[in-house]
Amino acid sequence: MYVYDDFDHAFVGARVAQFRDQVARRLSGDLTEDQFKPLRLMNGVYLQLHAYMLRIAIPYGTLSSRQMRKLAHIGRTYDRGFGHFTTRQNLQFNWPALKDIPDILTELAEVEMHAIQTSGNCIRNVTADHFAGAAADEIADPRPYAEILRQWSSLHPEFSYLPRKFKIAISGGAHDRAAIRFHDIGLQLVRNAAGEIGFSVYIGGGMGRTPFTAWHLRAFLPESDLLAYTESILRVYNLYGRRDNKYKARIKILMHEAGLDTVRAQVEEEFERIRTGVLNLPASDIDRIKAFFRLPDLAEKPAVSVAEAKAAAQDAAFEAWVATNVTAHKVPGYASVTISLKPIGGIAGDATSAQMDAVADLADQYGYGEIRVSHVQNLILPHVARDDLKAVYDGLVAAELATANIGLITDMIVCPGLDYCALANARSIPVAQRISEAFGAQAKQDDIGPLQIKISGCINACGHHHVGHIGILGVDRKGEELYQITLGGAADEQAAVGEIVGPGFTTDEIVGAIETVVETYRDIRSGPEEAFIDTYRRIGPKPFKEALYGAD
Amino acid sequence: MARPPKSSQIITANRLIDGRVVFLTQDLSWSSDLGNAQVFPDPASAEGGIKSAQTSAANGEIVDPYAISVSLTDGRAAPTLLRERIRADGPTIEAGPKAA
Repeated sequence: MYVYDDFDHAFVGARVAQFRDQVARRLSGDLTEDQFKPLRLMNGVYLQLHAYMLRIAIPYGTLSSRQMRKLAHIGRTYDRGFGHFTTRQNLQFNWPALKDIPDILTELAEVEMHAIQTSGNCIRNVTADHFAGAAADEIADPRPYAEILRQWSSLHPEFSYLPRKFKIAISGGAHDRAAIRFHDIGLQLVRNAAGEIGFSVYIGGGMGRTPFTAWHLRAFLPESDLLAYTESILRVYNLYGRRDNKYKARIKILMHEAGLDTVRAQVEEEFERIRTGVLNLPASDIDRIKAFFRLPDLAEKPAVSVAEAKAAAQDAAFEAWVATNVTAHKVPGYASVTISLKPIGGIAGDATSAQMDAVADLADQYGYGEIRVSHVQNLILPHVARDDLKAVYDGLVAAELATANIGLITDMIVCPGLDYCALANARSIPVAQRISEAFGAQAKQDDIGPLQIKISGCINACGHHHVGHIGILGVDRKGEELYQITLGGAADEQAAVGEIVGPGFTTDEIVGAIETVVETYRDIRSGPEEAFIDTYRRIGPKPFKEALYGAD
Repeated sequence: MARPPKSSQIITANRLIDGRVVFLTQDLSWSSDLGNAQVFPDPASAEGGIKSAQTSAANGEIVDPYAISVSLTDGRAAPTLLRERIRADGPTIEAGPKAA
């Protein structure tokens, strides 16, 4: 993974020292809250319902075991012994004291981490496919490009006060595991007819109160033009994006109002002006960054593991876990292991400090010290020998991290909701916990098959409800929590915004309503092999509406 | 959000140093226990409480003070809005993962 050079260390160190001084001045009364608030936000410090919240960037979701242990230590020392992994591959601590945050940032800097640009109207943490570098289906590892974008965008003076926040995601190939069509810029690695690597560029995707799937801006962008083209997009957005209304300030609204042709013409014009300038990326620079992300030296192994097969024959729970949580690796004899942070009845994305340490230990012992965070709020050991899967599984069982539900109905995305968040209108976590309990039996989940439920506690859509196969949006209706159901959303290459099925349900009704939707699917699917989303696409919302609300 | 007219009020804020939820008390200090909150009979009388709270904010004790509606049962105040009940009582779920 990327290793800080002297410049990076000095840069992050200076920023921590600056913030330490700002916190001291705030606590001594030299700065008012109005003066301090924008400064703390630039360092990832929010004030939520019960306490401050610190959002730490995990660039493109890549963590070393050493960094994970540091997060565990911070959770134990300065928080309540746990942290929350988010849909932007970040980690949030929910209970830090303001007085401690400079010390936390100092500790993070020791392991080459920070909280810069995890808030504010700037370019946020660039996210990427969580199987990057390991996926059998990728054109190239997206992380070197994400790292190049990170370096370019960090404290970029022109883009530190954009009309609104700006999010970039990169997929290594055609199968989109990074939700690139719901980002301000989505980049998909492609090859052109000459076999050269480049990007297919999407623009203006987003969720929130006005969801849009992205527009396709460019079919092929050479890799050497990545920065010049991205800068051109940002420059057009910075000039023409609305600043009069924060709800209309994202680039998706500019796309919607100005249209693809207009924005494309402006971007291309600026791009032609600057493409041969300082932002042109020489192959040597790209190669230098790529070298940081080299695949570990994986010893040659047979594609089929005798040890794995033997263990699976003796342990049905292990076999079930392999079926759901283990993904093929590009190197035969290896696999990527997804560690579910969705225990049945638990809190999506949360991990205790002890669990973080356990994952770090397993990564060191069996996974070359590498860990990933997915936007689906799970953890990944990207490079594990299939021969070692049983040992990893046993370690996860001991850490209470062996839930076999990846991609199944209980593998939900869930925002913190009204239990923590100052913006929320309704609770998300307790609803998710009850759904998890209702569908948690392994046989039941397996029978239902792939199904993504995503839950947000307000229209800002941090829980990605718009792109859930089943989406749940919590709203406030005259002081009562009410939950709207959407159906048919998808975050992958078949991107779609879900349709609202009808009036919302109370907190007492919502789990039953989800059971009705799932039962309807089981009744009308062509067979167990037809996934929920395929049934929905084939038949549409009518039978679900009738089951929920009765026939017209 | 609906707020019944003339309801009793208390003043709440977050403590500057650690962000914890606090309530203005009778002696114009701040307590994390809602039971210690000074209850104002109506929004107009809560204005006075807001003024002293703003002094506390200026002194760097607390952040963003505001008045909330409460209902009174046997002299005990309970926030009207769910958001404020959660602020007063903490998350309605265990503040940590299940395996903790």
